[in-house]
Amino acid sequence: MTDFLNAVWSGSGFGSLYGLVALGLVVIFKSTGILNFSGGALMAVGGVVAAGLGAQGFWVAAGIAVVAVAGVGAVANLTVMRPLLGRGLFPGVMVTIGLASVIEGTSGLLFGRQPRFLPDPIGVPTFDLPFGTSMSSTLAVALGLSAAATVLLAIAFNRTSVGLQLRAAAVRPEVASMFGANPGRIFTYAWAVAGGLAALAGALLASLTVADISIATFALRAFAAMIVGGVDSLGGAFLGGILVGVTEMLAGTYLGDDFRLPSTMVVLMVFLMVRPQGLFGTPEVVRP
Amino acid sequence: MAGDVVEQQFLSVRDLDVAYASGAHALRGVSIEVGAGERVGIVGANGAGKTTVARAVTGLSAVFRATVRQGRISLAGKDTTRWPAWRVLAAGVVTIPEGRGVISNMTVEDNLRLVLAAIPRRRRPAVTEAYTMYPVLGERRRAMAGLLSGGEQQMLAVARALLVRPRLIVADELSLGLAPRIVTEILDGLAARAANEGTAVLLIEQAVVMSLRFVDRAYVLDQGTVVAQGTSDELRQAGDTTARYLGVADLSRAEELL
Amino acid sequence: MTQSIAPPHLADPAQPRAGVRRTGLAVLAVAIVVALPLVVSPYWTTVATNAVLAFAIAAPLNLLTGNAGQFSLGNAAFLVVGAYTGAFVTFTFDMELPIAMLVAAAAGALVGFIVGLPSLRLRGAYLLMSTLAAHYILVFAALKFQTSQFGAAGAIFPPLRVAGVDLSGDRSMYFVIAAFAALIGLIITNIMRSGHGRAIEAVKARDVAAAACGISVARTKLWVWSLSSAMIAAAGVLQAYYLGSASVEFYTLNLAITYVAMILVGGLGSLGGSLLGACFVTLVPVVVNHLSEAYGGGGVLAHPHELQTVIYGLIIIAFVLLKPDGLIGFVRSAARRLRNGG
Ligand SMILES: Nc1ncnc2c1ncn2[C@@H]1O[C@H](COP(=O)(O)OP(=O)(O)OP(=O)(O)O)[C@@H](O)[C@H]1O
Ligand SMILES: [Mg+2]
Repeated sequence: MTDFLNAVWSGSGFGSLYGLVALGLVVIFKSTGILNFSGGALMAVGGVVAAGLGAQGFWVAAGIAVVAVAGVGAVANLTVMRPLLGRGLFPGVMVTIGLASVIEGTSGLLFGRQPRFLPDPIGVPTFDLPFGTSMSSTLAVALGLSAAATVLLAIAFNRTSVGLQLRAAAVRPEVASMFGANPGRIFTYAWAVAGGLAALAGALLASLTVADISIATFALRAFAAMIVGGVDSLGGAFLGGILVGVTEMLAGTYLGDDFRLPSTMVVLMVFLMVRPQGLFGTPEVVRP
Repeated sequence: MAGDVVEQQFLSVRDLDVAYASGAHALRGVSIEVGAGERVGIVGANGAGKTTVARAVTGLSAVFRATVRQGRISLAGKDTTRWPAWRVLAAGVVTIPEGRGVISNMTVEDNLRLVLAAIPRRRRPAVTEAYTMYPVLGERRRAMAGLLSGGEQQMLAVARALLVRPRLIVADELSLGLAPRIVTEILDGLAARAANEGTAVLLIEQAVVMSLRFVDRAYVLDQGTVVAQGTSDELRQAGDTTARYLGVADLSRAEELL
Repeated sequence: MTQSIAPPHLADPAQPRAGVRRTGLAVLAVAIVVALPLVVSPYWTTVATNAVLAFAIAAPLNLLTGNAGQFSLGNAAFLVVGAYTGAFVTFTFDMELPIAMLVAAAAGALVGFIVGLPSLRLRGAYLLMSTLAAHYILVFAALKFQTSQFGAAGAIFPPLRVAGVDLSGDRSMYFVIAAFAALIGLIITNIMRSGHGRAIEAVKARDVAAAACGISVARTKLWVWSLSSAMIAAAGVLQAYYLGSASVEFYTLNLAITYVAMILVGGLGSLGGSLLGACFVTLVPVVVNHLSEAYGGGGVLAHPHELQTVIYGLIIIAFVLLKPDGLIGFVRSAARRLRNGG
């Protein structure tokens, strides 16, 4: 019981990090149709930047990293992503893979590859929970921040001008254009949001374990989170992340650590075969 | 249509040549003018190029993978040939697109708020303006737009266009699929508002008779070129040459039939 | 599938002449490939071996992705399936390389068939995700197999001997791999020239509604998945012999992406493109390392590995944005200019 609950607690904490990255993937995929393979690199470089500023404490460091990586996302859109609109899956995937490689190499050149640490966001190391279980405070903060980010993003999509235009562009890009959406501008916001969310996940990860640029593959689980939740659902990405994280930790606890990543991929495969629209997605959103 | 009036035209399209990426050469040297506050029609059969004109004028050519090969579009004297849609919209030209362009899985209100999003906050009108014009939209503002009837959707499209206080409305096949009574209702509403605010209307229609009743003058488009133009009366009286392009046996007779 | 498209030799009256030219080019290519290791240093022989081996893996992938339009990240997994099947057959039954490769190809075909099954229901991003999942699941299975059969370090391959002849030298290894690559090239050329070629292109054209596709499209799809994976798995055996060992850490997603980058850079759906792309992508790190050594390794050149990573990414981006038809596009337009000019 204790093992089980501990796995659920830490699984949902780690899962919320996948959820953060997945939120960014959803925002981009939904509005531009681009399947972003650079989420992991954006997360990793966010962690590296935050850890480099570790002396400033978690919140300042994470804040600066979020802003900086949001900038990276925006620049990426303005330079290499914008010409790709409407060109289909393969070009988008390949350019984001190229982008990930550029980010990784540049980070290596600028900051090196030694592992770095970031202080905890709050002083207490762990929370005690019922049945003699406990949860790391950083994971609890991660869970809270991702939930908050999901809610804020949902509000932004419903209330703000850019949010409305992004929603319209996701379903009827030509109608969005007709009524004043400037794709170059609104997709830049989408990429900035994706970069910022990924950087937040990276900073949290840096304070949980270590940050170095090669943690990018950690974020592959975000793809599973995105599919499980439904590719066009923000809340789905968050809950999908948690489901994937808990599955992973349970697999790690009961089957062995080497089962962690494969178990998330099995979940991904099962959803693809049985329910490709995910838990909360719309079936017809399947894009070619 | 003498050359010296050109200065006063709000919209001026000169020798426009447009081709789609697919290879279709949709417009071949089209020239059209719309004065401030004027009501002008474009009529023509299927595939004549009417929608292509609408797209070009509203900055949507690129969105539909079409390129302006030659010619010039200007708004109040400014060259807007290569402007993107959002800039053209900011210059006061809005469209009621072919097929209505209502986003069906967004609510009625969100469809209206979408166009408001493009207007700077301090000049942004209240969304309720649309409900004053068409109360039915207010009643159903939380409904998904796709659930509205065809006529209600067209009202939504008209209200959305009027919200931006445009200087020119480009309406493409507004009458399509609607009962004549509804069309008249919508057009009358549009005409009243347009006259009130000095808005020009470019009415693109296949329904010639209905169209000629609404506009001051019109262009007849066929296979990408303007084959005739004149006031509504002139076109009605024109012999079977014009009528043939429009696929109507005899315009004056057709009028009586309605 | 019953579309009446004229076979190429009827459609193109210039075919006989083009055929002669093709044969000439092929002979020239073979001559270059054979002469190369006799002329260049052992270092460049190794580089050439890498490039030719990369071609033997990229070409079947290009058949699947470029010609049939099935975007897959599963190729590293097919390599490990091949390598471990080959190792198992070699060690357990003491078989020669050709047998090991045939058995590996059969295993690759079976696994490719299974990985290809989702393509009957999914397309686009969803299909790609299924190949991503398949990659990790297969590599994990390989890890379990590795631990039970070969120990934690993976499978160590003995020096290559066929029929008692030692082929493990740099040059002989190069010739073995080049011969295999030529075989792959021949097989793919013949397929694309046959009726199957048209069926494969039809899969790409009709993949708009995969769920609703007809039986013949489904059959062709699975056939291409199996065939392409079989060739990649067979190449996996050679690769393992060439590297001397096979261990799961080698078969990463990044390795899979490298081969996709090759077909992108070379030209999707083109055999010549696969070759050009394989050479180009293989040469990038070599050139960067040389520059780094030549210029004393100052500045960014002090970190050739990071620089390679950046350049590799930039190359991928540049080709997608600026030259989507790949290097073969340059060759094609040069050939067109020659033909029109002369
Ligand atoms: N998006 C497009 N892509 C390619 N060709 C197009 C596109 N839209 C229109 N065309 C072609 O351009 C020509 C003009 O079409 P257009 O839609 O402008 O005609 P229309 O007068 O509006 O016809 P209708 O009365 O049927 O709406 C036609 O030959 C059409 O096939
Ligand atoms: Mg039309």
